[in-house]
Amino acid sequence: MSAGGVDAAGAVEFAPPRRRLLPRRLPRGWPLLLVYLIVVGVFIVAGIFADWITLHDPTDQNLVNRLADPVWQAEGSWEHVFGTDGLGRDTFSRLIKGTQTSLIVIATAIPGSLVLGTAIGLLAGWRRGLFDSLSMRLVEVQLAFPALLFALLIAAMLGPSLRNVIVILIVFLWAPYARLVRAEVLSLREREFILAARTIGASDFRLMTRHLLPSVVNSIVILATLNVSIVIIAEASLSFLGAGVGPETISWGKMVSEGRDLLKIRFWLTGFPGITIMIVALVGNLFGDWLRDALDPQLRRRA
Amino acid sequence: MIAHLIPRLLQSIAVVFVVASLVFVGSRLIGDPIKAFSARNATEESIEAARERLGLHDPMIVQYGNFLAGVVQLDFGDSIHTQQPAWNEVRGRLWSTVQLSMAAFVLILVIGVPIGVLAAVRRGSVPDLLARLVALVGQAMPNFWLGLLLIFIFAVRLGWLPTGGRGSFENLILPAITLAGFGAASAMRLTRSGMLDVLSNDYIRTAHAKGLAGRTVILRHALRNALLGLVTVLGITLAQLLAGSIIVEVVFAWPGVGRLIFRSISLRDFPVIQVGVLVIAVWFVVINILVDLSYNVLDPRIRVGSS
Repeated sequence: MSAGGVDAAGAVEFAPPRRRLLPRRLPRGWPLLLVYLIVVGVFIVAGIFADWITLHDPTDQNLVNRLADPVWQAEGSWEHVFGTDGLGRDTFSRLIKGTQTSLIVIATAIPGSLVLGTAIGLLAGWRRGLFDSLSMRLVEVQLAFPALLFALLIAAMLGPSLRNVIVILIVFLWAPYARLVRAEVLSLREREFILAARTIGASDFRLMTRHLLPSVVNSIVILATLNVSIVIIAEASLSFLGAGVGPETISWGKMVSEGRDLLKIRFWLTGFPGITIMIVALVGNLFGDWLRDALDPQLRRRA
Repeated sequence: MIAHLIPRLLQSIAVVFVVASLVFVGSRLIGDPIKAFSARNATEESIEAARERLGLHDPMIVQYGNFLAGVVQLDFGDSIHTQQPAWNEVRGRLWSTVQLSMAAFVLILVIGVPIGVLAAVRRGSVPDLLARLVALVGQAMPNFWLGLLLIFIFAVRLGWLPTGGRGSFENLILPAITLAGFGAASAMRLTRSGMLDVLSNDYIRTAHAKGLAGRTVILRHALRNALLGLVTVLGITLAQLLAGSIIVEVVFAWPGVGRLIFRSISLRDFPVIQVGVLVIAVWFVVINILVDLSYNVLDPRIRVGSS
């Protein structure tokens, strides 16, 4: 026993082990992973550079050239690759511009709900007490209620706008993070590395941010990835119902709703945005599953 | 059992109360219903009279008190749009929404669960791969789009089924499939992973070893245990269906509560919104209690209150 206090043999677990930034070998199932990454890459690039990619102004109406056929139809031309809608607006340009809207919603709503939920979960799990029970009741109520209904109500109250959609999504998506993080913190708080950090006088804030947070980061990232499809579909559903983005914003959900009346003669006007939503949501889910298997072997399901 | 139930009931009443209050605040924030309704040339006096009649002049706290007193007596005031009692408006459409939800729930049970079991038992086979693929796609498909796709294929192109409305059995098929889509996909995936977990247990090997028929092992020993984990999820699914039917009802012009709420929000018909949202909230709470109870019945190990 050394007089210093910390036994060398007992101090095996001061902090979770460091992870390599890049794996030595190609990860399992890498061909599929490559496909996911390409789709994600295209989605992000199209979203960021939407204004440079679109050949036409996506809001430009042209009543002379309304309902133009897409390029593979006899009447189609490369001028409007995916044809035009009932007001003569270029479908391809609108899809790209809609990608931007989806990207904005994902890039704000997911980090927003993640930070809020993680902070509440950390505090609830570490401090326990009144804050814990209050926030967990709130989580229960939130998880038990029909999100869409309340989102619709809130959207109707505040009026449709992109900002309101983001706020609504954050309000509805923080709860799973809080519950997950709290549960992990509860099991971590008795571990030796936390005890050791406390013994040498680490503050609560330091414990939470430097010791607990790194240990729960994997789970949070997995949840966030699996949330991508939820966010995409929720935004599209609200916009489809007219309670989503405002009239000035182009969204895939709104495009589906606009094409609805033309379903009989121009199915692709609802088909393109619908398929796009589906591909992004699908890849989000698949990538999330892959990430869960890769990051968390204990959680690995035979699915 | 009773001792366990009472706190749950109190908690549920508290939840319904909170929802009622939120709905009250929410529906007052939507906007001025009188403005939305009165004819453009309505006189100041007639607008004032309408406000007076609806009690919109009273202080908020009085309106809130009246509202809560009304909730207890199922009196929510008249619909601003149709002048009929709001409760009657909702009650008249409740059955058609319940019908749609139940049809979807039955589909989830008879499609999602058996396919999940089959996929787990025949793990890695072609049916397993197909089922997983369909479930993945089903979970990624927004239900409004699935609905429009089905309308396009079966109503517009093939002409087999009507595009919307309610009446005959044929009207129910497409909306029920649309509403069931996501839930069936989730149920399938969860049944499959639940079954795989159970099938790896020692007692399953024992059951096989002592010579039980494969069917008995799967149904009696494995499925019963796998169902435990499923009950909660199926309960949540059932509760979500009622809310999820908003979109499906709008897509298929199905005359239910969801479509009524959707229309009432745009018309700012707040008495109807309040009843509609409260009905769905009560439905949620009831389902949650039932799930709790069924859990106790199904799993003797956690039977609460008997000890």
